Amino acid sequence: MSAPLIDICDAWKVYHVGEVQVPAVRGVSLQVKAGEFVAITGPSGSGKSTFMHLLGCLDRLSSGTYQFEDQAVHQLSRPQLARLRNLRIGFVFQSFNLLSRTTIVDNVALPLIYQGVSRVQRRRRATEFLERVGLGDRLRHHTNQLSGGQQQRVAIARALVTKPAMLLADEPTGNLDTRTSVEIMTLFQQLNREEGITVIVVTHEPEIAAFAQRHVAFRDGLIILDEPRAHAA
Amino acid sequence: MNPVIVLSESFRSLGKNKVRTALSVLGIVIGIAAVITMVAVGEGARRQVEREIATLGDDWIMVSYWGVQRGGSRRQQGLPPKQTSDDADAILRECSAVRAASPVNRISMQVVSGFGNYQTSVIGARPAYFDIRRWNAADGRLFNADDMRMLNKVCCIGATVARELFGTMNPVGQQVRINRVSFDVIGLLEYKGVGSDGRDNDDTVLVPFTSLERYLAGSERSGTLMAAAKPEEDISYATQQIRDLLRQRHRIADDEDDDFRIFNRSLTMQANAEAARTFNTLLTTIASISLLVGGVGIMNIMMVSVTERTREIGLRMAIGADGFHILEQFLCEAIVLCGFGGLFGFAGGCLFSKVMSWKYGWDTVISYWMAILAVAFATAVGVFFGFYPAWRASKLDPIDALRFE
Repeated sequence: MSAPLIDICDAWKVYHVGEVQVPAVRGVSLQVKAGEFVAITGPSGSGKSTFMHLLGCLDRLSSGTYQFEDQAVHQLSRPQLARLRNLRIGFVFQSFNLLSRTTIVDNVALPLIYQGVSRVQRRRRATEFLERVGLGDRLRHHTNQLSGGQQQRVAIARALVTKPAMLLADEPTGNLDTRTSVEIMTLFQQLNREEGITVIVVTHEPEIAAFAQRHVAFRDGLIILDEPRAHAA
Repeated sequence: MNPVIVLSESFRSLGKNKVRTALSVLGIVIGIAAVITMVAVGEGARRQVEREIATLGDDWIMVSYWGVQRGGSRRQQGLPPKQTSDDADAILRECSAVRAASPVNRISMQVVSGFGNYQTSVIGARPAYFDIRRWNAADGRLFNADDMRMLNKVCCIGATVARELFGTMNPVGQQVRINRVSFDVIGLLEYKGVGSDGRDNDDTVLVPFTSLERYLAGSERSGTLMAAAKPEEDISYATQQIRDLLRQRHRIADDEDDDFRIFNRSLTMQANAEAARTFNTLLTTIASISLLVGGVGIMNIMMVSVTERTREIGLRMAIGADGFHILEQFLCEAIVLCGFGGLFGFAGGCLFSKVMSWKYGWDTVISYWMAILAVAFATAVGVFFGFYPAWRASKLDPIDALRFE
């Protein structure tokens, strides 16, 4: 097996709250191979979300090293990080973070603007990915005309449209009911199996974590458990 | 990023929230339109007063040598023969604030043409008189220094006299007899109408001062001189200079009264000019306040609308925009917004000014430098306060911007 997709070593993240230093992640090391489906769990305040932001290059390490593919992330500049996020990483957020008053096609096409893709191309690719998540018949709808599950599908299409190496989902089912949650998680599983996309899901619900092949548990800024899940549904 | 993409994205983004965009533009439009309108009205008023002064030629100074009573009797019954001429020369030579001076001899006489006769006032004066009264020839020419020197028997007649003596005929080239002396009519004076003193300005015949003295005046001596201040000088200052000089020339002791009287219309003129200036200052002040209020409005709406988009900025950064993309986009949006606001504001200001002209009959003058200033100010405020929150947001880590409440 070649080098892992993610190789993070002794990662620290310390927040400065006034005079006080609050460490959220305290020396975590983790390797993730391409094509894995990982669930990161832990109670709130355990540092799992912070850790995911570090993985997603949304936030910077206080110390430690982070190797993503062939890039030393901890050494990259802000514009380089932006480019890396744009090309290699797809995000799915708990609150969807779609642009209101905007059609779902334009929402999905948004990341492609920053690659300088022409408008026609952007629309074509956005349409293609919306069809993949089962929303091909609602291209002209605005985001506020969709249900929560549909909005999250739009967000997933947006995350996929740049053909990233990794999909990061932060509590993707936090705002959804159980049935829709299962649908969304099944979609992640499908993408993982059929496309080979690495998926990392942060959740505090064990039922959601159960969809993953590997389970990483956080507590107090440290990994307390890292085990495969053979019984993935 | 491709500038065309940035620009089209700006338009689409502004088009998404039409109410927000319209409100932002409205703030800019009102600020600019108010300034342009008010300055246009003020400037129009000022020009109107200036034009009235110029056309009336009412800014003269008149020195009258008679009628001064001293302890019940006139101290000086007769004037020295050339007193007004000499004084006029001296004034022109020594009073720095005076641009023109002329002795004046006004005598009421019968004037006869081939068609009729008419009693009018015949005025003998130097060519400078035309400058003092701001009077030009409507036809023919004015008499000049040569006519003065040669004692030519020429005259320029006012419109009223021309009508009485020649009807609708052109008087220029005709002859009139004044006190049985034949004079060539060389010029028809511009119509001036009734002056602010109630006198018909056009009811007069002007002849060279020397010719009048020689052929018509007989023993009637000139008892008046007229002068005018330089345009940049205050009339009252010129008046003071003339008074001081004449007192000195007439050898009047400090405790004695003047042996002449000086009239000018400067009080009326000054009052008018002062009123126009006050009006103008008032409007400019109001306009500045409107611009300031408009600026605060623009500032608020831009600050709020961009700040409330901090999450959008966070999202855009999360999915791959770097700080530069964000600044580019918001700067472009702010410029488009302010550009349209400025354009509509300018159009609105011109429109309001026209409406003012129609409705109230006021003259309005669009001051282009003021318009440019107003547009520049509003645009600068709009762009700065549209740009600043975006710049601040672009400096955040994407995750902080996303979490922004």
